[in-house]
Amino acid sequence: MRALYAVYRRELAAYFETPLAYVFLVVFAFAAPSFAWQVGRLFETGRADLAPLFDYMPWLLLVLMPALAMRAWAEERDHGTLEMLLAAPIPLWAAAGGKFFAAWTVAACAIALTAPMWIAMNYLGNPDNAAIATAYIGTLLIAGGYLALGQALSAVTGNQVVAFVLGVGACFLITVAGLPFVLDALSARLPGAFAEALAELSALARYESLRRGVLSLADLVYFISLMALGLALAITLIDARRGAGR
Amino acid sequence: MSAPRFLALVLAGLIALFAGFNLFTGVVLDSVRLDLTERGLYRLSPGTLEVLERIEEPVQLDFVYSREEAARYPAIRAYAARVREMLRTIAARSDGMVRLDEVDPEPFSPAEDRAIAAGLEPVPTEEGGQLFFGLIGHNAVDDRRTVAFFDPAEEARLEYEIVRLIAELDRARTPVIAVISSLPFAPDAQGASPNPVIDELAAAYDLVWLDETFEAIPEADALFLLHPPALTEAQTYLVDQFALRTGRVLAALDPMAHVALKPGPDGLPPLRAERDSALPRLLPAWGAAYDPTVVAMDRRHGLPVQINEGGRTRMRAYPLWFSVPPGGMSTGFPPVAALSRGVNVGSPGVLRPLEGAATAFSAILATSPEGARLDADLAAGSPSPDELAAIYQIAPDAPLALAARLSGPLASAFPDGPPAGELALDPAAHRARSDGAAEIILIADADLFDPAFFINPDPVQGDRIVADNLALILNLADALAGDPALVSLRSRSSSARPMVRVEDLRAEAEARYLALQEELSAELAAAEAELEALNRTGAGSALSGAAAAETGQAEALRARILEARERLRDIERGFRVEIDALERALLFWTVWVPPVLVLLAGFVFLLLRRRRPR
Repeated sequence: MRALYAVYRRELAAYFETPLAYVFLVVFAFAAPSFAWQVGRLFETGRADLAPLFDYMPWLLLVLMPALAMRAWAEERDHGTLEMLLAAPIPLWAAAGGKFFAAWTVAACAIALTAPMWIAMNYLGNPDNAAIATAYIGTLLIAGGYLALGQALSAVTGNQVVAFVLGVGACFLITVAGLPFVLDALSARLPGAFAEALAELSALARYESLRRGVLSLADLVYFISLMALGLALAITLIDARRGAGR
Repeated sequence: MSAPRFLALVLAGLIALFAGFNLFTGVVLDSVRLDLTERGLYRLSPGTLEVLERIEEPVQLDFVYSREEAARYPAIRAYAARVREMLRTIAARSDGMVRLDEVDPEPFSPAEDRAIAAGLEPVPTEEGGQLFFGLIGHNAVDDRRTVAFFDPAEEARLEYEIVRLIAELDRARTPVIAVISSLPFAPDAQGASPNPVIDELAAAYDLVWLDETFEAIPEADALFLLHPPALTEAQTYLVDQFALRTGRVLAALDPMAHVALKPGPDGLPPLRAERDSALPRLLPAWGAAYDPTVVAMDRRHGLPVQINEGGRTRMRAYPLWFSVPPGGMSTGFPPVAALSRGVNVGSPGVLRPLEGAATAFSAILATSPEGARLDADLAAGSPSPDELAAIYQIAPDAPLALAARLSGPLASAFPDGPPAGELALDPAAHRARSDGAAEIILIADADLFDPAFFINPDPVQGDRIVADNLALILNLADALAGDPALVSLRSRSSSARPMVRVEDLRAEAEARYLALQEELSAELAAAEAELEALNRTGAGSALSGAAAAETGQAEALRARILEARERLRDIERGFRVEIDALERALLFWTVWVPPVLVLLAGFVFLLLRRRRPR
């Protein structure tokens, strides 16, 4: 645990010692409310809730989370520091966990920057604050899932841009898996059960209930296992590289 | 095995493990849900669960929703998400008996044709498209029920609408309600106009309308007497016997029924319109007393009405038309206990129990302790609020019962058998007593059926239901003839939390706008009339050789008219100014301030770091 915390602190400091975290936070703090006001037309709905914000959140996160995760392993490989890290007396899971939690903390800060919108809704009316809090938990969970996937794909390559593109692609696939256009296309060629199973695994479908204020144990398990999958893939890929280099 | 192949196998194994694990937990843990919304919006009511539990044949629901067309309408989009969630929850809790599909009817597609054929009502969009947002339900024998359009203003009734559709598809036959009414509610009645209460009843029940010459009451599950015409002896006997046989009667009587006298499409009240209604022989037999010459009023809950006082339009509370809030309703009778918004009534009558009656009398709607009585003839003269205030005397026996439930054994109002007369009634079939406990609902008001009493028309936002009149009647119908499980569903609260501050600003601006507009319009009209009068006499024109004073007066009038018009335009421009300013302020605080603060924090932090000695 101590090793995990050490990596977490080192990684978090790395984010905030360079302009990276600030640029990310500025972009997120501007983009998320802008989407809600301008694209979701929050004001025109006349409802004191944050549905338009949470509607667009997965789409924003699927682009921004891989941007946050792309450096996790790709930068280490690019700078040649990966070997040093692997040689250090730190278990691989602690290194991967530390990196993940640091990125997740930055993501949480970014999500917290939309809090003025929550305050604004309380100013405009009497929103369902419990439902909004649950939607924030859902947002944090989907962000964690995307980060873990992004981190796994960052372990594939030493090029951060390639890691970013791969991350966005993977997050996109797991997001759209349950959308009608994908299911329609699939059910025309494959058995219906396959399409149904795929829809079950869509991050968007799992986020949907949380977004409305309903906490389902199955959804919670899904996001935690998605994060575990991302970390396991990253560990496996890095471990394979260590084995290859040996 | 080569290392890359082994690696690929491990990665594929991890992904397969993730997929398999989640498909398994999705099935096993799906029912472990915690609805954290403040009003428990996604928790199904006990009534819904009861309906779902007893479904015997599978029900197929097709949620028809034009996703792309709706994308341009944020309010519809938000409501569609709520509808979808509700449908999914219902399907998930039905043990596979309710199957749900979502259909996005593309223009000119077979799905669109099917939706139209099923009776769904698409709404034309600004872009010329058609927006479908409804539900089609089928059962195993291909009976079909639909929700033509999910109206966001009706969100409080969403669960009820869906569950009613399922319950109707599941039941073997549609219950029948026989209706006797002097109101223009029957589809073929003279001057009939659409009435949401009747439309909803007709959607759920087979309504059999009896005209005023009826000679028999058909087999029915319940009988509704809605402001009935004066019944003959024989007709009264038929009603009496029906009540004894089935024990299920709802009677809405009124000493002063505005709804009966409402002008029809021809601008005149219907022929043979009855101001008051009564059942003089039946009520004593049922155990209640009612005087058709007395109305009730309640100054504490008077509804706001627009009146003209000294040439100015004002809103005043009117004690003759008032609301019965939840506090004035019975808490022990589910059809009214579930109501949350109150019921609006118009000069209703007063009911009281008869001593020594076999039935139990329980008031289900009552005035506040400040209720008062008034002569119905006086009420018919539309007295002003001031006139009513001057003669207002709180009744010593207030609160006054406006609606009551009579339950228990009934005795016939015709102890000596059928009346002799025009109808050949069989004395052998005569019943002197009811078999079991009867359930009679008396409501001393017919105006609560009038949509003007419970719907606030709004051409911009859509009509809004402001009182529970509709829910009350449907609940009573379900309690008497239909599915009591539906009773608890009708008054669930809506998930919509309005932007109260924006609505207040809009209302204030509207009020200001209306008052000023009226003032300016009157000023404008007066100035224009004055100018016209001057012009007619030729005094307003310098060419006519009029005196300089008169020409000057005409010029001043023209200037006043111009100024009034300009001010009217200013008001129109200023209508949204405050709302726009609020939106701009919120945009500033939520979109611009957080990133700027982060930028500043970043600069300060990086600057401090550079200055820090290493």
